[in-house]
Amino acid sequence: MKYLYFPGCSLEGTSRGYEESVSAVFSKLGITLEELPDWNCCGSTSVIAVNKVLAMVLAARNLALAEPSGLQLVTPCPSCWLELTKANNVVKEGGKLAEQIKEALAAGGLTYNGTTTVRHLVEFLVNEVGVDRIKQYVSNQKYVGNVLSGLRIAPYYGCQIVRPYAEREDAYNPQNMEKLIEALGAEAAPFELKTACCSGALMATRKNVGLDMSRQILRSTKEAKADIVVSACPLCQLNLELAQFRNSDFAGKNELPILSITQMIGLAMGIAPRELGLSRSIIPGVAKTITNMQKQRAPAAIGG
Amino acid sequence: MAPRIGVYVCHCGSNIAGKVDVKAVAEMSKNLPNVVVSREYQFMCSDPGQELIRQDIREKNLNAVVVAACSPLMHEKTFRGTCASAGLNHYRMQMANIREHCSWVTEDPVAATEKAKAIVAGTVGKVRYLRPLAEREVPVIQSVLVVGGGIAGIQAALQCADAGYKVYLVERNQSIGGHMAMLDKTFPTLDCSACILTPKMVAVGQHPNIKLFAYSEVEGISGYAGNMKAKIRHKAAYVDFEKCNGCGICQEKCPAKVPNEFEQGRGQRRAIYTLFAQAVPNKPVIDRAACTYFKNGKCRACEKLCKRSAIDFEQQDGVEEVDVGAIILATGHQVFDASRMPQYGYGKYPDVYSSLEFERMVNASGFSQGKVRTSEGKEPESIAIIHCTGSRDQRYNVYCSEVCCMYSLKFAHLLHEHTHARIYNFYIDMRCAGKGYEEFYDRLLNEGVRFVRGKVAGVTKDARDASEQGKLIIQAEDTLTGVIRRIPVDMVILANGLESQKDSGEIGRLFGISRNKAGFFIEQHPKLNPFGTSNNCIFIAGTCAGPKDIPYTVSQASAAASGAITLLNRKNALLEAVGAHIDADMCSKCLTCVSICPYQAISMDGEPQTVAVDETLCHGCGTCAAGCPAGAIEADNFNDEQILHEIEGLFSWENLPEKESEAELVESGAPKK
Amino acid sequence: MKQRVLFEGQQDTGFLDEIAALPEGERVLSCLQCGTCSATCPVAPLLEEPPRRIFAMIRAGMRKEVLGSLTPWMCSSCYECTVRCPAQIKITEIMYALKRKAVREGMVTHEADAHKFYRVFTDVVCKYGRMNEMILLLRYMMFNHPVDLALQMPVGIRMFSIGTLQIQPHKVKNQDSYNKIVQKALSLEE
Repeated sequence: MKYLYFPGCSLEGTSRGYEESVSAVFSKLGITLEELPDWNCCGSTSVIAVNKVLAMVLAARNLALAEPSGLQLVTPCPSCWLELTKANNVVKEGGKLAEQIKEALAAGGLTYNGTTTVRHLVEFLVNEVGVDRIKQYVSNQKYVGNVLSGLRIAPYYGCQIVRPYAEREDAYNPQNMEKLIEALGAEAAPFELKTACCSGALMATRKNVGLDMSRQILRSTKEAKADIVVSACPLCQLNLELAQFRNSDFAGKNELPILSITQMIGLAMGIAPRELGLSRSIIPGVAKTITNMQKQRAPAAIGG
Repeated sequence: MAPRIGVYVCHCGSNIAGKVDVKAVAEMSKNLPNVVVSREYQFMCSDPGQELIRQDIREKNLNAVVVAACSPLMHEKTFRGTCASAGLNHYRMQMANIREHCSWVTEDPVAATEKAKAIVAGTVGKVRYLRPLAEREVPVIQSVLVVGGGIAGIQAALQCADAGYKVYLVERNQSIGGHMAMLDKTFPTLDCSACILTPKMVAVGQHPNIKLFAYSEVEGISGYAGNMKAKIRHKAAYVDFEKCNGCGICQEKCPAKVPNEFEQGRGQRRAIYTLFAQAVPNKPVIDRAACTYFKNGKCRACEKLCKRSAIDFEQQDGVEEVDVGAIILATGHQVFDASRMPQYGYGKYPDVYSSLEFERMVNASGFSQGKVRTSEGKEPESIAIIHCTGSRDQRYNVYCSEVCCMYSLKFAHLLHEHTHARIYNFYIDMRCAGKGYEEFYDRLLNEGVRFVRGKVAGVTKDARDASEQGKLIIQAEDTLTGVIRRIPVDMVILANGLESQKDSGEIGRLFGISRNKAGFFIEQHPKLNPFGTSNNCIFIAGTCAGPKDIPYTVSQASAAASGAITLLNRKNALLEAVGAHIDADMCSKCLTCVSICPYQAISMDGEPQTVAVDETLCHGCGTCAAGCPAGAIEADNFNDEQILHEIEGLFSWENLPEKESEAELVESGAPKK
Repeated sequence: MKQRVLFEGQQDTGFLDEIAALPEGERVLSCLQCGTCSATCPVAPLLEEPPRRIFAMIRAGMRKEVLGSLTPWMCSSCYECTVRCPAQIKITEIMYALKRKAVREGMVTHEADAHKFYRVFTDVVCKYGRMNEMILLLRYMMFNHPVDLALQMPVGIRMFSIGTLQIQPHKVKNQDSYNKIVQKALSLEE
């Protein structure tokens, strides 16, 4: 099966690691994710704060580009998924804004009829790829740093993957990430703030507020005795890393690795950390930290 | 005999005359064919107005009357009575609605007057062809069926029984008492609920006029106004109620323990059990799914121990039919399931309790013997009560459940009595509208309860302060001070809203009663007849008609009882005179009418097979006449002849030739004596 | 001492209708002022005017105070309020609308500079078709948080060394079509 892939701008820049892991994991799974040709920025939470029609049109352009193929459009970024879904809903429901979107697209020679399906990566992995299929690839090799059993992984969903729309998921107590964690042989460490906000763009516009909000989440994961935090969102991942970068509580030996969902899956599948972009984290030595944890937690599993 | 029609155009004060030129309408009417007198008057429904009609009927030998006024729903009965009292068959009177259909809905006075003229002309055209009809009287069976044995059903049953009528009270649980039996104290008097309820329950159990069908359900209803047959299924209890004397030894010795629904799952009961200590009837039933014998063939301890040999594992469901003249539905409510609001932690955190769970906890005969303790057995230091759980909410129930503010205050008071805890009530509005209710609120204010006006956004264990460790933290905005508050508590009590029973749809279909969007039964008129329904032999009482407190429930139950008694007391009921008639020669037996009749009044039988309408069941709605593809069915007052002449009349009002005949236009004023 | 009386003649009594007339404002008239939004908002404890109060002020016609409030600029679009509001008001979407209105009417509080961030973001996207984080952060920080920009150097250097700092903006290839679409969209905005 082939799918169209919408990386979103973050995955080309600060979350390049996430992008690399998506590539590596799907390549190993044998599933083709074809990057949507000539995609543009979805606008995220910024353009809509300036100009509503433009925001919806930017998102809709991608939907229009995807439509002719009839393929589903998968995106790893919750914010992209939300904006694409919002634009999709507007077009499907019809009305004034839908007409404006169509008019703007037509100016560039594009049409959109509302038939593109947009999926976000986490839900896609659980429902389309399936945990069973992922399990088949989980390696029991005695390759240090690749095996996750014995580790407690905290599933951090964040906001936009469950609110305002919870696609095949419970908005207050989502479970898709727990399912993936458990399928990989690790222990899920759900924590009270697993759907709380990391602050999003406030990390840039109100740094202190952003740091405070992200630190609350880190504290909550620590209370749940998490070894690793897995994130569904490139900005959440960056924010949780930044909160550690500037906080001596977490510096040094106690740094909490923040992995993207496919980085976690890739490790369990036996893909080398380098290929999964673990070195792209602003926290240095993530791969080594995980290896050390592994040595302490489950020496038997890694044969040493 | 030639038609002699009188037309009466009502001003209705300024309701009609303010928009429609009533004099012009009366003027035009004079010239309509067969009209011998045309009048306009201020208020036709008044005594002098009606006297105008009576006098004209007598003096001018009218044989048909048109009253151009308000909706027939208002005064059809009035004017029919007027005509009948003057000796004219009341079905030869037809109202022309020039108020709700004309003056009240038309902007332009000229257009309104023209429309009024058309309506009157049409009605005059039709009334010439109306046939004189008569209602049939049928005797009303002198007994009442009360469905539901909560306080509403109990009150209604006692009222009817005391009035001397036979009552069949059907309750699906093995004891009557309903939700009120679960409560500890009742607001605002703080009467012990069981203490005020049980005397009534006992009265029901002992009343010679009440036959109590406990552990039973109504399965079917058939019949017609005042003559209904109810099929009641007595579920198999595996206990012979006649033999059992309620000694209770079977319950003591039964080895199987399961969660007790009466204690909301927080306590346990046996497989053979009575609902609660003061149950009426005080007979146990066996829960098949929990019973060791039914599950794997062993035990039978209860049978061995029972000195009256009342245990009967072979017992089958029993079915009985009763004849009744009136029915009172008092099927009650269910409580909102707070697990639908995960942000409150119900079902996730053991110390979040629903309203009924707390009633049972604080009740001396409940699972905690009246001691208020956390799930770990400790005395709570602080407790939060959350109002509006599931109510006033677009996602769950949009309405206000009426009783929750009051019972939340009651909870606060009980907690104040039973504990030394700090008590917080979180509310959006404080609704204390009944007698003594606002005073009760003041009492609570003076008991030191901390009130925070802010709907709780969530209950969390995420502690942000040393004082919050290990507690349930309430997040709410104190809207009156404008400050965000985080309040750590040991226990949370939710004020769950009231909802319609989940099978209210099936009950509605069984009895033919409509429900509103929230599933509550719809009353005949929300203001003037809140206890009647669209069926004049079926009444509703209690929370099945909407959330309400106990005084309103009891009042409504007595009102429903009075409705039933009134019906029975007249001994006879009048059947609708208007009906449908099938022309057998034109009928092709397609049976379309049979399936579309809402009253199941049409059937095909006999030798040779004929399709016919049962006059007693027929309500004259006309659905069959409209649906018959062959046009073989005629509905009284709406047959082809009548309708076609009405249509003709609608177009005939312009350019009428002046009549020279005896037709007179009489100016408004009092009738000549 | 300053008088704190709200004279009706000085308020914009049509402000509520204006917000209610927006597509996002469909249910705003049903607000019960219950406070759920404020209580669940992660930044509310920092705000003079948490979300509920903003809606109370909208109802009172306090246009200046609402559009001049810091609150919309502190919204992180977490949507907690939207999901929990018992009246199902689209609160987050209304916050976006207030952001747009505040800029258009020139009433943004001097305490906020997030509008500049959004402006740079939008300009970059309009020009290139894709966001470039380095350009965004440089342009935004340089003018608004120059000291902080200097303090961020360690992060910047780290990012550069791990290859996550994109120097070259990626452009949409079909520039002509893209530009036409963007221009049309801009012309349609009210």
